[in-house]
Amino acid sequence: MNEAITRQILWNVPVTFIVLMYALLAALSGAFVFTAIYWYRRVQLGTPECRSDRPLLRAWLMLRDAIGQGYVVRETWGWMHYAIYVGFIGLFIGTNIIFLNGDIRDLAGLFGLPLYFYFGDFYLFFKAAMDSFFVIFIVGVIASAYRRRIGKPWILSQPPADKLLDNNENWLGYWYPLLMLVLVAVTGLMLEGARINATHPHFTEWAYLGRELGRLEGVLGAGRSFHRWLWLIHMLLVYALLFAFPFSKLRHFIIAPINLFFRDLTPRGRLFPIKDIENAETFGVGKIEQFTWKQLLDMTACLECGRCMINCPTATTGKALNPKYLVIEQREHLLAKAPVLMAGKTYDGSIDASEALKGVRADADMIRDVATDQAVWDCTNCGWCEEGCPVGIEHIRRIDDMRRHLVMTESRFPHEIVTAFKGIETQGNPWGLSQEKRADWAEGLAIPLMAEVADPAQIDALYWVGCLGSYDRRNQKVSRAFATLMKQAGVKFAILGKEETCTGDPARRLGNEYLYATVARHNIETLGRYKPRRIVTQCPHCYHNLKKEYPDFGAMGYEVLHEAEFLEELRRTGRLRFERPLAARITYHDPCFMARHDGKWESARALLHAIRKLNCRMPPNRKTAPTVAVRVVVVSGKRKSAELALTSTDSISLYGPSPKRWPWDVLSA
Amino acid sequence: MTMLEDAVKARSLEETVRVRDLSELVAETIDPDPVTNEAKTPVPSTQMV
Repeated sequence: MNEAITRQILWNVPVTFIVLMYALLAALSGAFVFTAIYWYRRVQLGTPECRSDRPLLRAWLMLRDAIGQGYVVRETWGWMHYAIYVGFIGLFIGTNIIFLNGDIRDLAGLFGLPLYFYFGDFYLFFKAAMDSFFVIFIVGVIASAYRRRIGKPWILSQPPADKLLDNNENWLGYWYPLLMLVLVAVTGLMLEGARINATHPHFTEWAYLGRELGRLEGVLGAGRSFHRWLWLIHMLLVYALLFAFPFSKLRHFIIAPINLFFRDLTPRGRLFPIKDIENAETFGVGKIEQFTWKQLLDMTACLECGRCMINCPTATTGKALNPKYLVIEQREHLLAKAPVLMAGKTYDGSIDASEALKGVRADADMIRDVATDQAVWDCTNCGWCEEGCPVGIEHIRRIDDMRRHLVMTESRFPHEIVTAFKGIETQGNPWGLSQEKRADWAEGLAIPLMAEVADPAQIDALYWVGCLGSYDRRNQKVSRAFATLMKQAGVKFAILGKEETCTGDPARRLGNEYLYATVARHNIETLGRYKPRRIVTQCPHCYHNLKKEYPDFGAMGYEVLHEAEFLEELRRTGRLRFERPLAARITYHDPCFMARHDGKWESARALLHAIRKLNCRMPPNRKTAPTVAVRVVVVSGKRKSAELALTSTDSISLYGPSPKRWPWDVLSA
Repeated sequence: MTMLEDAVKARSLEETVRVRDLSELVAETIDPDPVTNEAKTPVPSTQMV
C-alpha cells in the first residue's frame, strides 16, 4: 500500500468553516430530536395496540423491505427510486468513511487505536466508487424530476387544496428536496474536481468524472480560493438538504422503516372482533383519536407515492374513494386536531377556524367532512392498496372501522345495505330469499344432507356451498359442476342444506359486526354438531371467513380447502383424471380473498397447467390480481377471442365497470 | 362471476368471451363416467373458441 496515494481530509478549509460545520451538525441533531418528539406525540394520541410481538421477524421483514426495496422496485419507475436510493446511500457511506478517517481517527488515536485506511488501493477504489454513485444518483434524480414535471402520472395527483394544511411539509413539497439532492451531488463532484485541479495529484484516473470536471474548472480559471468557497457552498447545501429531512417528505427515511417494523403480521384482510360487544357503548372509529396508534403511524408514514391507487377498483374508476387521498386527508386532520387533543380540551373554535381548510380542520367530522361517507362505502376490501404500499400502510381495517361506527353507532348507511342485513338476519342470505330453497340447486344430484348422514365422521368433506352457489342461477351451475366432479372422484361429501347460512362476510365487511358475530356463532354451532374434518367451498369469501376469521369466535378442528385446492388434490392423487385435451385460450382471475389475502394461488395454476393443450395466459396475477370489475372490462375491450375461467363469486361490492385507466393489457397474448 | 358475465354482456362479447368456473373447465376434460353421466347434464356443453 502506498500511503502517499491519498488526499488530506479538509484540505484548504479554514477553521471558521469547520467550526460552522460542526455547529450546524449540532443544530441538525436538535432538529431531528424535535421532530421525533413532534411525531411521537401525535402518534401516541391513538388507542393502544400490541405491535411488538415477534420482534426478530419484524426486524427481518423491515430490513428486507426497507433496505431491499422490493415493493418499491417492482412497479413502473421503481428503478428511479432505487437509483436515488443506491446513489444516496453510497455517497452517504462515503461521507462517513471520510468522517471515520478524519475525526474518529483522531479520537481513536487518543486511545492508541490505529484507524486509518483512506489511502492506497482503497483510496483509488473509493474514488471510482464515489464517482459511480454520483452517476447513478443523478440519473435517478433526473428521472424523478422528469416523471413529476413532464410524465405526470395520475397516481402522483394530490387531494384538493382545501384538505392540505399550510405547513412546512406541504410548502417544501417534492421539489425542494429534489433540488437540494441535485445541488449537493453536483457541488460535491465539482469540489472533487476543484481539488484535483488545484493540487494536480498524479493518480487521478480513478476519479474519472471529478478529473474531467476539474480540468474544465481549471480552464475557467478556478484555483485554491474557488475550492475554498465552493466547499462552503457545498457544506451549506448539505445542511439545507439535511434540515429538510425532518420537515419534508424526506422523513420517510426514518418513518417508513419504523412503520414497516410495526406492520400487521396477521393475514391481510382479516378483521378483528369487537371486544365485549354486548356492553360496548361506541363501536368502530368516528374520531381521529379513536384509531390505534399504528393507524395514526400509517398516516404519518404515507409518502404519497400513489401505488395504492394503481389497481384500486375505486380510484381507477373515478369513485369517491381514493386510498391515497384518504390517508393524506386523515393525516392533515390529525395534525390540525392534535394541538386541541394534546391540550386535553374540546374544540372551542379558537384554533384554525379558517373556511379554507374546513375539510380537515380540528372541528371537522372525521367521517362526514374528512373521509366523506361515500368514500367509506366505496371500498371493496380487495386489499390491493395494502399489497401495493411500500411502507406497510393498512387501509382496509381503517375503512372498516369507520363503517362499524357508521352502522353500529350512528345507523347512517346507504339504504341498499338494509336489505342485505335483513336478508342475512332472517333468511341467512343477503337477498332475503327463502332459506327453505337453499338446497334446491342440488336437486337430482343425490347429495346427502349432513343431518341425514348416519355417521358424520365417515364423511370426507363438508361442502359449504355459499349463498351465490345456492341461489344465483349462474353460480348454481358451478355448484353442480363441482359436486359432480367430487362424485366422479368418489369423494364422500355432504351439504348442510337448510342448515347452512351466509357466513356473515357481507355484514362484517359492511361494518355490522354485531350481525356478523351472531351469524358466525350460529354457524360455528352448526359445524360443532357435525365436526367435519374438512370443509370445501368454491366461494373465496366463505373460504376466508371459515378459515381465518371464524377461529376468533371459537371455531376449531376443521381444515378449509378451496375448490381449486381440492380439485388439485384430487388430480394429484389420481382420483380425477384429465383425459381430454382442451384446446382453449383462457385467462384465470385470482380471487382477492384467496390470492391476495391468503396467498393461495398455486393450486389453480397447477390445475390449469395439467390440462393438455390449454393455453393459459394470466398476467397480471397472484397477489397483484385486480378486482373482477376492472379486469373484465379490459379483457373485453382488448380482446375479441378469449375465455375466462375464474373461481366463482368474488367481491361483495357495488362498483360498476367503467375504469378510466388501466396500466396493463391483461390479455396481451 | 356474475360481474364478469355482466361486463361481457355490456360489451356484447357473449360470442367470443365466456366466463367459466374452474370446475366447469375441469369437467370438460374428464371423460364422463357412465354411472354419473346423468349428473353431468346441467353443465353447459362446450364449444371451443
